[in-house]
Amino acid sequence: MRSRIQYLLVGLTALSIAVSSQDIFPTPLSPRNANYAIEVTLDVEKKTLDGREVLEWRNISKDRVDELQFHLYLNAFKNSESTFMKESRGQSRGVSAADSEWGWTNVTSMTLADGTDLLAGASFIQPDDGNVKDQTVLRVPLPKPVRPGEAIKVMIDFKARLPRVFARTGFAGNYFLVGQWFPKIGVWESAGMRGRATAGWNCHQFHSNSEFYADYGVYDVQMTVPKGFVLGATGLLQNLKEHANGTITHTYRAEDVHDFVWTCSPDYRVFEETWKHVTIKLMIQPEHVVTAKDRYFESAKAALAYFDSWLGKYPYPNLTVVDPPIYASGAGGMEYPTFITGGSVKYLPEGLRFTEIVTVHEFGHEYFYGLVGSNEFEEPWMDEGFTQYSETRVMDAVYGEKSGAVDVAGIRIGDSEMARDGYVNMSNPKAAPIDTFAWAFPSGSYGSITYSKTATWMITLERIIGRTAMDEAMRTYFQRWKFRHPGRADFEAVVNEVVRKHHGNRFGASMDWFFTQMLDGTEMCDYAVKGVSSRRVAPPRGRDVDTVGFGSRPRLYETTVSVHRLGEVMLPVDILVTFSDGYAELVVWDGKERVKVLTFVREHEVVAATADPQRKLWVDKDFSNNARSTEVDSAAIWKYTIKALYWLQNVVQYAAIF
Amino acid sequence: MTPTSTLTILGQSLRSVVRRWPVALCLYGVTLLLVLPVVLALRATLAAALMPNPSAEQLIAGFDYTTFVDLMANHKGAIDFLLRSVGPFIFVTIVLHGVFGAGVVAAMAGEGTAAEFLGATGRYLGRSVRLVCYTLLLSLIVLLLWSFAIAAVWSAMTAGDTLEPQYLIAMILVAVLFTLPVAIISLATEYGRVLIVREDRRQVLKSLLEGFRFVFLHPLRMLLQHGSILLAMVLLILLYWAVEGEVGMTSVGGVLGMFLVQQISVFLRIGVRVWNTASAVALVDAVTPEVPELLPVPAVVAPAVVQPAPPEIIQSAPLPVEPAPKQPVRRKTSAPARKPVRRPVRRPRSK
Ligand SMILES: [Zn+2]
Repeated sequence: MRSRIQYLLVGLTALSIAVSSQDIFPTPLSPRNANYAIEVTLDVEKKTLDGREVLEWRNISKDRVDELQFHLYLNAFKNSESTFMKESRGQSRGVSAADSEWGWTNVTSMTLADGTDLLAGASFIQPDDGNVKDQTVLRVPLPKPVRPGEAIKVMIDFKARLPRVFARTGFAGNYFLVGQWFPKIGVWESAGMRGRATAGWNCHQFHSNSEFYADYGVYDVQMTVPKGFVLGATGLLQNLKEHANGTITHTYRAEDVHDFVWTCSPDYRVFEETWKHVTIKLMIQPEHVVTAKDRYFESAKAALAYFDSWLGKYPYPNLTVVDPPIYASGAGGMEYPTFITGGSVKYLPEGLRFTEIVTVHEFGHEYFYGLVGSNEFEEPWMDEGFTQYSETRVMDAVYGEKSGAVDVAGIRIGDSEMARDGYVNMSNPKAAPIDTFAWAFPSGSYGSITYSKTATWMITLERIIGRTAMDEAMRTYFQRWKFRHPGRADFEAVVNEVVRKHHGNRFGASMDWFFTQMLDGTEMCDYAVKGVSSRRVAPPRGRDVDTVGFGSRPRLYETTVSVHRLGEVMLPVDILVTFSDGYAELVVWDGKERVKVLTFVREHEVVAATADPQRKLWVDKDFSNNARSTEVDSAAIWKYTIKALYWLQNVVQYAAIF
Repeated sequence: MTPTSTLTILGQSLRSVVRRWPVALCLYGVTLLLVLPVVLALRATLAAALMPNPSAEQLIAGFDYTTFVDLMANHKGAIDFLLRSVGPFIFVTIVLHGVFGAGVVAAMAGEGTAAEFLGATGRYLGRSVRLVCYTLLLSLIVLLLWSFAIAAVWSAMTAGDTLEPQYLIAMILVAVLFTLPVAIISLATEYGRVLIVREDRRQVLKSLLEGFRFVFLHPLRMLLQHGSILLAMVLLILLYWAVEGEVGMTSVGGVLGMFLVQQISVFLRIGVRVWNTASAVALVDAVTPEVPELLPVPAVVAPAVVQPAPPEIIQSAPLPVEPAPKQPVRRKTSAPARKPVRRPVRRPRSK
């Protein structure tokens, strides 16, 4: 137990930092109801953290709150019995947890400002799965409730050990990515917020698929590490203080953010460039400087510029881009406020835009997760999916619609194409609806459904309602919900509002028909043109028919086109029918019937019919059945036959080794 | 045993292959016949599945990822059928190559007519098949054991906080370690086959072992001679890629043009493969010890010019390198003989 004098010191230090450190924003951008002052020392040999934290939490709801709940994320790595480890089986993104490299957080003391001990009554809870061995959520009853508008100050001492990095946080050799590292308070949600029925804490266990949900605030953090370690963190550096014992304390301040991460390693090379008001600090491994430095800066600037004009200003004055070494690749591709980790590999060809994709994606999270604080535990599609959609927008705009992701040796793949492929060709695209809690997805389906399917339906929505309306919806959603916690209904409401403004009732009273199919359904969309034919209109026969002058009239053809709905999803479909005289007719079908038969009587025969010629319905699982022509051109068949012949000849030839 | 003599062997054997072009043509024909049924069946499947489909036709204009993956994903039958045929093809190829190998050796030692090539292939069929079996068995055992060593090397080299250059080195090393035994077994088989045909040996396993002995006795020659041929093969592949990049298959003319280029490329590479065997035959000729005196010398003396002389002789006393290709006497001796390709006279090896 630490004496009250010591707490007072921490409190005073925090206060002095708050006073001495320069404010980033003259007026707060967010409610700032979860503010932290933390002192932490990293033992680079033992990989441990020794921390003291002062949390000031303000009750911004209209409810009386009589307990607190904290995330102890690092306990996910405590042993094989945690929910995280059970779910991931020690695997994340292809990297394994090393058996002897467990991580944990041990809260050694928790008191109120008046010294009241809170730890005695505290207990671990498992709101999601009841796994009593999981210690990632700590429930702390309070001696008296926190009333609406009231603030509470909690002093916490903790010791923690970082795991060997394999998922988002940890160490590898001398490399440290210290994320999800401090006891962090959950979000108190009132009834009605994000559609919830009753008020309560939203503080989920740490799952292998889930990441964040937190309130905004100010972080004043002092990190003490050995001299020689290059350090980067969320927010801005306030000052550096050297100590006689060979350590150095880095003080950072971040405002209007909902998390704080830091990294250090003696190997980092640091470069800085600016984009408008933003200083981009690149912390890169020496072996990647030559090949990846420019790729990081260019893609970060491209993303900043795109989001700035698309959704609105990136408010922070800085962005830190971290490049982990290959042996700490588990630390790559992560997002934290004003701080992202990328990924690069020496020898990576320029046409494989991995570094760019990761940078753009993680930067996208600065908007959808950072600035718009959706709940990633419960509605992961609202940050991962929105970010994936944003990524396709940026990548395809900057690097080419058909080459946004890959452009190597004649293979060109757009980022939106990659997203669609990730969804329609995943092993089971019907594994779960999008609107599923992050940890509830059947094994292996989380990424493809949350990221790829969401991006694919958002592209579809964009092409149905038009880019102008889509962009306005996205911008309105961002502006309305930044620094707040929106849920699904809040996004849908914005879309409905904007669609009504642009299209009136063209798409019905609301877009619910679309959202229900995409978010709650697991069915696929597939339209196919099955029949295309023309036949000569024969002269009428029989009694009482008028055949006078039939022979002198121009020859007429009756054309029939049948379009089938093979999937269960119903979306409006354009059908383009072209005739031999070059005339083309576009028919819009509501896409509801199982089979739609179109008939035309014209002087010319039909040449081809295409359902969805502009590929608006990006969720269509098979575009190869979307068109039929009457003229058979077998050149393509021969092309692939010849390719196959040559390929097999090569197989046969190279196999002749003995 | 100087690089010059390797060059001479390469030159001689190349000329020998060019002169005996029907051999390469036969092999080309065999591979074509082998794959053609599968390819034509594939064409029929593709045509049935895609024919009236404009999106398939779009692919003629170039690569389109979405069209491509949709066609692949939704016409799995057509594609799987092609992929499933690869395994059997590899096996059949190895066997066929072993079987025809004897014909190639014989043709390289003889005149290189198609009849000679096919005749010798038939004559040595049993021994060729046995040789293939021994080789496959040996490769399986060696690669199985070797893969443990390779795995150990890989994990030792990539343990701990390894960076990319180290990974690259480890990858290259693993590739080399994997290739080495395959190359040695491949060469040993080639030389074993040369010995079997050249000296009409009955003991296949012993010949294979002698093949190994031969390879290990002349490591530098192996590297220079077969390495050069491998290099030629690589150059041909690069040349093909360059041409493909220029022509492309994005129009009907381009498809037709590339078809021709591809077939020429396949034929030339088969030629290079024959060259490899021919050079092995020439090398064995050049370094094989003198034949015992008592070997009966046939009445015909023609072979002195039919066979390429060892480099040393060419260097010391220039002989006409181009032999008179059609000497009736030669035919007479080769036709009835049980072992027509066996060289009736060994020239003394200069020391
Ligand atoms: Zn993401």
